[in-house]
Amino acid sequence: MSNIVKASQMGAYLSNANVKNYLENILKERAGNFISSMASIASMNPTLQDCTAKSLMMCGLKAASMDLPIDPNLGYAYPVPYKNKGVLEAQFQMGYRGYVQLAMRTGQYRKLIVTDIREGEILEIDHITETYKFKANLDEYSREKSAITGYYTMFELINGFRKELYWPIEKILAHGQRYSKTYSYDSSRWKTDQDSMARKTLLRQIISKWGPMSIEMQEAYKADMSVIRYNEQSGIEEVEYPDNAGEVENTDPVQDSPLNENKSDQESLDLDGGHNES
Amino acid sequence: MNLKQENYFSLEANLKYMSVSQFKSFVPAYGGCEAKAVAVIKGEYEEPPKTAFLEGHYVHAWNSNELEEFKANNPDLYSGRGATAGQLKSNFQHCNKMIEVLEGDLKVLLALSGQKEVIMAAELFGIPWKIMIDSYNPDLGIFTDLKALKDMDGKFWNREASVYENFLEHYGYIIQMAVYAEVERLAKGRDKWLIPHMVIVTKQDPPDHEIIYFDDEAIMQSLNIVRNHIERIKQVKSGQTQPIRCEKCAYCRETKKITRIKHYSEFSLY
Repeated sequence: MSNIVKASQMGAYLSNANVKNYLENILKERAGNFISSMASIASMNPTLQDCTAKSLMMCGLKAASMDLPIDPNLGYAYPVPYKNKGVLEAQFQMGYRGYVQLAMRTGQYRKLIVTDIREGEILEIDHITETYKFKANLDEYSREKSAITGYYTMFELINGFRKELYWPIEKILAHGQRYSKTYSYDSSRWKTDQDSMARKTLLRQIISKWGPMSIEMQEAYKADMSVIRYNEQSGIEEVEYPDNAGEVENTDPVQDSPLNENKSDQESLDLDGGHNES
Repeated sequence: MNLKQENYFSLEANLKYMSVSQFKSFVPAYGGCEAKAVAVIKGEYEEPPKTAFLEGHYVHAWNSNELEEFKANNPDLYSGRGATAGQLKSNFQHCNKMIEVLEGDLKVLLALSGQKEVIMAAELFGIPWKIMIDSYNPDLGIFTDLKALKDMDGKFWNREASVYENFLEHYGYIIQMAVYAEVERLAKGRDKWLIPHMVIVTKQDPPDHEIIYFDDEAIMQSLNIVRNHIERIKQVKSGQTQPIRCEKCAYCRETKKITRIKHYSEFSLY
């Protein structure tokens, strides 16, 4: 544990010869830019600084491999701190803008919309015939003041195929509550940035079920909400999906099993030399 | 109703009490289906018996010192024809191998020590829950559940959440341990949770085995997951809300009627 480098020392970590070599191998001439941008991202968010430098770097690399900025202010992809066995790690999360960007790059989408729908804007919705009619409230001021009733998303492909989806806000929140294991945490993005999570939910629904997905998009879809690990032995990148993303409070030490206590007593019991630790 | 071994799995007990397996049977993320769950509770549908369950029961019967009785009551364990007639079927012979592995490890025996198959009930999230603990050892500060599994290496795609899960998450074992810990705590009026343990033995040849424990944080997170789902489950179970059909499980396939023609592209890979 003691040799874990935290992201607060990101600059020093990235200038380590081994790490630098690794980055230069992957990123070539972009390595320099990557190093400076990662160091500045680490300095922006105090909780991120407590994450391991390696996990933050792997997040950055995942975004770089898709040519998306990982700067949280831009909304394409985010490093999100989460606690894993007492150690804070940065988890990779796609932002809805990231999905839009990747969809655009496929060259197959003529149009892609995701928007909030406010009270009074729905004229007709029929899920069976897939008829969705809205009338936008053009008065920005009163629109901002009216409640969000749901979110609408739609895409149209170059070949003319078109798909639309409207989910009432209750359905989106129920979906988040049902499938996000971290929904109820105060630090969850469902609490801190509901609008972009709602947009992302609808985009993921419509694109993954109906839209053409490039290899890059499939990769984004799978890496979303994961911690990227680099297996030094195999040289393969692995994605791990923690179930407690977002929860960064409550840093009590991890409990141990009482069966692991009294090592001296156990030694007399444990005939096969602690095979559990192997 | 007084819960005991004989009526623990009865329709009446399942109607009155929530259990972890019933909870999971409602939740799609754990492979559940509301329509099937309701049909099972009403006694309108019965899960077809699986050999895997019987193998699990075999190993459990060893843990509760009832293996001989179990064998005597289950003639299906024995081969009926051919040269092997009268012998234990090969999969149950393999269960004996799994038991040998468990018996040969003193830490396993320590983890499984204590009272066997202890039934408890308590009110949680506004409804009564029932649990049955395989091995209960409050003196050691633990309780233990025994599982016989195919292996521990599985990587499962959770379609609903679009994530991969390990076997503990996939089968909802962490939830199970969390609910057990909380029901035990409430039933015994304790301040703190006992530490939930799980002894796992695999059906591989040779079998692998492991002892796993779960900390307070895992319990808290899992209870949150239960909290997130329970209101809907209460409504569906009580009939106030119509159950949703998953259209995938055996029950839905058996009772399926097509109401809408699907566009060919509705078949998603994810």
